[in-house]
Amino acid sequence: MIYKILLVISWIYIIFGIIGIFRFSNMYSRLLTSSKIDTVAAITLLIALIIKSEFTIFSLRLFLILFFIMITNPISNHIIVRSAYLNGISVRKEVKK
Amino acid sequence: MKNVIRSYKLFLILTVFWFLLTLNFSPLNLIMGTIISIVVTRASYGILYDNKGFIFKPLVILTLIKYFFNLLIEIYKSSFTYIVRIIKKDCDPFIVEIELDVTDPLIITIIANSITLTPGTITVDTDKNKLTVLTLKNCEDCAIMVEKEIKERFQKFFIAKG
Repeated sequence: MIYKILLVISWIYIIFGIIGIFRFSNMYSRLLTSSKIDTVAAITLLIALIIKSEFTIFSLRLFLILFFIMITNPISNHIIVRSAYLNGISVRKEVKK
Repeated sequence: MKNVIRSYKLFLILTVFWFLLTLNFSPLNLIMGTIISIVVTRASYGILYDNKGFIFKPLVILTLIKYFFNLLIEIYKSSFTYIVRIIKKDCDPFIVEIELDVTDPLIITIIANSITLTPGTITVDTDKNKLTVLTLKNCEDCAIMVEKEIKERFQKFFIAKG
């Protein structure tokens, strides 16, 4: 039962992410939204699958994949945003300390 | 081969990962796993370890486990606020520079990675212990607020342990 709820929650995250990508016009806010789908929806989906497969060797493998995703996922987002920033695409307003 | 013997821990971890992910104990798979682990261990000379041993100072595992669960909670908390922002169409990104108190490159990498994992913030660039962070809230005091938030969320775990 719990895993079904988690699966529905992950779909909700994906749906809102897609809506966000179309609603926002700024490139950086779109990137922020797409990174949200990448992390939150993927993590929720994997946790749901871990709960579904209970305490087996398969859930251990899923946990390893979750760990691997949490380490490598931010890197792609970071690289895209960094290259956009270094190429001079302007953020609407810069606040410098 | 000497390097592989010197860093047998990395080799063992890689082999265990290989067998856990494949779950196949046929002779071909055993040989493949061992060869690939040796190649990866050899290739990471100078990146992960050198003649003296591992380059990075190892962290306490208990701290990392605590940090992992704390990170999951933070991700879910900020994901809900982000959904509200999507519904309200309230999105005005701006860039903040944050100076951390820690100097260990491994801890700085972990913190930068966690900032990118949390919905609503992305690390754009790092320069020693200065992070350039892309974030959403846009108001006068927000730069200070974001810095305080990040330090409270992520940095305190590593400072308490030294």
